[in-house]
Amino acid sequence: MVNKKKKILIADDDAGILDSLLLLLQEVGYEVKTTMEGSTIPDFNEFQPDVLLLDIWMRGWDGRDICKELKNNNKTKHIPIIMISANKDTARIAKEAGADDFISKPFELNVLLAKIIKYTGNVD
Amino acid sequence: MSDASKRHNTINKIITADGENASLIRSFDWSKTSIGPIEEWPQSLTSTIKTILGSRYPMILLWDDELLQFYNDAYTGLIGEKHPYAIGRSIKKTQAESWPVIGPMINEVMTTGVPNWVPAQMLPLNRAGYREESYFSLSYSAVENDDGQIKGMLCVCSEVTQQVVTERRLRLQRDLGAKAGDTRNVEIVCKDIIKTIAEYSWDIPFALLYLREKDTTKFILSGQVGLRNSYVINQSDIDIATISQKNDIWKIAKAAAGETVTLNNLEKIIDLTSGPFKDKVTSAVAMPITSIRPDSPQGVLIAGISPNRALDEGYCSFYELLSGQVSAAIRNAQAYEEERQRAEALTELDRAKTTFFSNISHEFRTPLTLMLGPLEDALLDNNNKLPQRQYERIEVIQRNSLRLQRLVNALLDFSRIEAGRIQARYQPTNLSQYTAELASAFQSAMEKAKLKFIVKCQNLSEDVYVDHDMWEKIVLNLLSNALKFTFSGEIKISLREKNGSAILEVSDTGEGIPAEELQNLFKRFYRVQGAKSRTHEGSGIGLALVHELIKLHGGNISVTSKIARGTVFTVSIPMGFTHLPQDHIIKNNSIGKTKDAKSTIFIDEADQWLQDNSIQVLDEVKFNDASLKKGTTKSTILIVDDNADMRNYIARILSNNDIWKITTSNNGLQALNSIKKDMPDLILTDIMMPEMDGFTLLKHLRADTKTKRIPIILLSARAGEEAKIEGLEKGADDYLIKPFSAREILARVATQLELANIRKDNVMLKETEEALRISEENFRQLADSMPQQVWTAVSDGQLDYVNEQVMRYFERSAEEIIGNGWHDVIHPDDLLKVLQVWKFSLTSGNAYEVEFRLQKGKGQEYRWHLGRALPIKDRNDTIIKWYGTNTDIDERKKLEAHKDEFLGIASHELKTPVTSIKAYTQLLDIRFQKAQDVNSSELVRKMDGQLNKLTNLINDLLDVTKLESGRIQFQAVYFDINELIVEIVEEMQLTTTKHTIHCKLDKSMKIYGDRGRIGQVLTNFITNAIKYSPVASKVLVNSQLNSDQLIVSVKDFGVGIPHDKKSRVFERFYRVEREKQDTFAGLGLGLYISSEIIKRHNGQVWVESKEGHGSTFYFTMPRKKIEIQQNTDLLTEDGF
Repeated sequence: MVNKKKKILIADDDAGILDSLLLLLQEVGYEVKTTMEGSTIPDFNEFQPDVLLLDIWMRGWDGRDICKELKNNNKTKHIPIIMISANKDTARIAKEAGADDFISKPFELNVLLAKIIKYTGNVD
Repeated sequence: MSDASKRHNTINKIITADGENASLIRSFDWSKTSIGPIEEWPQSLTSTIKTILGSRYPMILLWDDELLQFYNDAYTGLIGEKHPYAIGRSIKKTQAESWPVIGPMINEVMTTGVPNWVPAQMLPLNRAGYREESYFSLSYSAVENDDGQIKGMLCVCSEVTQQVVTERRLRLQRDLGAKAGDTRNVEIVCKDIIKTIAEYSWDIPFALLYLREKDTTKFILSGQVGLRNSYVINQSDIDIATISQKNDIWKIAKAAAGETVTLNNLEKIIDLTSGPFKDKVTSAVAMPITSIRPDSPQGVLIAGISPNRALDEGYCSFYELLSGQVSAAIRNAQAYEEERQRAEALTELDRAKTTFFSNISHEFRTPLTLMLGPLEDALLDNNNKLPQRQYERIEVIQRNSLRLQRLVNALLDFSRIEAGRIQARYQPTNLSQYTAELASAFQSAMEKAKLKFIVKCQNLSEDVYVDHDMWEKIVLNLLSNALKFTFSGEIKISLREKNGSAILEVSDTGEGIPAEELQNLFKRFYRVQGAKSRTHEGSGIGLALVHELIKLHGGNISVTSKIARGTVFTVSIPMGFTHLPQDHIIKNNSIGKTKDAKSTIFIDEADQWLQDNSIQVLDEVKFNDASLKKGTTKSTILIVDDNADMRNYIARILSNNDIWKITTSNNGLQALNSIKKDMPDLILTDIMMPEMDGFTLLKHLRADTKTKRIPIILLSARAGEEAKIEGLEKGADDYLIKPFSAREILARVATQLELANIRKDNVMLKETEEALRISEENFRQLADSMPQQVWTAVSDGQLDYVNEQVMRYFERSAEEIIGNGWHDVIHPDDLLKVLQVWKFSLTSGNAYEVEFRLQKGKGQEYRWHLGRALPIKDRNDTIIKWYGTNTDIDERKKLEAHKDEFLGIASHELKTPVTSIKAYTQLLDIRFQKAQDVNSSELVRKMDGQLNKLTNLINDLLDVTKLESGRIQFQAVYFDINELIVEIVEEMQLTTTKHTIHCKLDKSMKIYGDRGRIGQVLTNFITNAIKYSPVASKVLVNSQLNSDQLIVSVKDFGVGIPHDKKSRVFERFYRVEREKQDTFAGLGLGLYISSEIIKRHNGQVWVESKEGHGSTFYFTMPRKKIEIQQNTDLLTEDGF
């Protein structure tokens, strides 16, 4: 049986976060890709994610702009975006940028998984 | 019948009307036009043509696309020489010049069929041999052909010339009335007339206005319009007595004789075009401008006649009305001018008269004073008693001198009233008391005369406004009059109130006055002929003066009398003050001074009548030496007068007492020099003096601090109130009117010296005030030397003083900042906060302290300042003043901002590794669980727990940073407070196994605020309660609602807080220090954050605690919806 794994793209500028989340999400059964380069996100040439975890504050570019761009593009607007940030006002910022959901750093794995499942369905 | 005649008959049947245009239409060869021959015309066309030909209104029909014209005879006049060519021709061609105007209108009517209308259109009508300015209202309507299509247009013209022209002429007359009607100067009236006429050049193309020089035959050109100057230049001044008929082109001589002349053929003399079509003006009318005498007009008006209007009846009457109006306007102005000149002459005369009286009085009074003084001295001199005979003779002289003085005074009073120059000072007076006092002076004289004297003055309901001097004269005159003419019986004076007036009645049982004399009684210089009286003296001016004085009070006097029975004078004076000139009313009540020189004169004189040459020794001078000597030992008195007699006289009076040292000066200048050497204690100075007069001397002395306190008494021969007021206004302490008695001058000098002593005492008081002023000055100097901005404010919050630093910093004057001007220099974002804090301090009396930004100079820079102020209270604990400072804390603020920014970034950066550590930890946990390594899993979870604590610390730090920089954002909603409490309590219960959290909640209610933040406060309180009660087992959470707020409390039974530390627990980074400091973890930020959150919700936080027994933390929330205090510049955080 071909069980197609759900794909998650994580965009953050911190290598530690990318690495830990990559391992963690792979551990629970997702196909995960990470990027530190915000400008490449809108292309999705090779990798069409089922959910995007997007950091708000990255060096050099702004997660909100990327979010808005994706949500304004017909090809990509269906992709659920969960914004992540260390900022306490993540909720408001995420809402304004048009993201589907948000999660504040640092977070509990259970909470993150619950949100991912909400947008992708169960892993199995 | 030939074809031609048959056809002619047919045409005649179609176009039946008579008249020129009818035959022109009939004979026109229509077959060459687009309409075709008449026989083939549609019925609609022929009917319309019949209609217009039959009408006497000018009408025109345009037909077919070409708009060929048919019009009736009445219309012919409107198109002038275009007729008859226009018949049958296109209007587009014959009216090509006006086509752009009428074309669109015609087209519109032809295409839409909607009729159109042009009111009062001017058309040049030529019906009487000239182009007439005429007006028509034009109505355009479409005409359909037989199959209902619009084929033509009918224009009906109705004349409104009379209406338009008449209206315009009426307007001119109205304008003329409005402009020239109320002018008071002939020259200006002429200008206005011409200016108005100039605006109506279609009716009056030109105008010349000639006015007769007073009492001559000369006519002067006083205004002209329309003609070039060259036509009028040599006609500016015409003498009708000498001008030849040939040269009199405007026929002024004829018009001046009263005839209206029409002037024709003017085009030969003047080259003037006018009117709507710029035609030559050929005629004019010359009209007389009538004066009161019809045969001698005051001028001639020549007015041009419009070349486009006939001089018809309407035009003629228009000109008649015009000349009438001009005449009236000029006459009014002349009358006014004459009246003004007359008034001026009268005023001048009056001035001269008053000056004359003034001079006379001066001339009379100086010698009188010099006579009366020595006389009195001689009579009173007990050391050198006069021999009896001499005494009697001197007495006669004194008596007559006094009488002379009285006459001079009465005459002067009278002339002043006449000239309206008496300066009455009406003040509220207990008239009953005053009158009784005045009357009492007559008591002894009455007794001597063996008359019964009845004084019956009832109390009046209110004070009466009278001039004291005048009332005195009224009463004394009436009484002395009564005494003069009464030889037996009684004299009665009474005062009562009736119908809002004070009624004074003086009745006697004297000789009585014949009825025929009564009417003359109040006339000036009138004396009842042959009346028996006690004396033959009398000017006959007394009653006239009384009458005038009463009139000045708005009252009246009447008299009834019966021969041999007696006379009653009744004076009535209105009460209140509204009838009096308001600027002469003095509101302070005082009883008039009585028995001064004036009443003495009256009484002395009355005594004279009664004395029968018996010797009467006058009273001793009334003041005693003791009062003079008191505190005035050897005071120096300087007498300044240019009259040596007067100087010596005064000096002699004053030196008699031997307590004053007398010095004298000739004039003001000499006096000034002598004062420099020897400072006198009092100065008596004449006003009129050579070199330097008394007023100037006064000015000099008052301007110098050394001499400004010296009492100065002015001596004036200028009687009356003006001199008095002038003198006092210029700073004199008192004044004496010449002539004065020895008694008077002694009394005044003594009084002034005494007053001066009192003033010296007052100087002590002044010194205290001065000390106060100096202390204030010191404060200001101190304030100015301070680096801070220093200010003071009065109890209502208005600044009343700022130091120099304030002015320097704001680059504004103190005036701009004082009051509420300081609002403008506070940063707009801080103003509200500052005003709230300030208002709170003002109402509570608490010290004021607030941080705000102040604009530096008038530029863009704002610097942070710490404003502080403390109230100064008086003994009654009332705030009298606030003393405040503003200290520049901009540097500190900037440092703080840097620190906050650093903390913000730091805490954010801290979270990132924590997040990945957490992720790794959780990953490990998953793996240990999979491997069923429970021990390792447990360790990893402990690690996770510590990470959560770390996260909380970081969050606290971030919150503090945001609170400090005002960047925390509250999201206020209505929420159920009980729900929130229960939720938090449940959550917190999970964190402890040792404690049970009990809730006791009031009834549920919705409050307005940030639910998450309030939750944070509860969490913080409960966390603390658990943390600081390690050995207790319960925590109590209570809520309580009262009328305006909700109170939530969290009670623990733990270690408690030492009393002296209670107030500090809400401070930032504050932790209650204990022996075992490491017992309780935390940054000490939680309570600070909680208290800030609650404060921003307009609530309060406090703690009640007993060491060793536990603490209760409280917070309140207002029940009303509140404005959450927050800044919205959150987005500057985190770099986006």
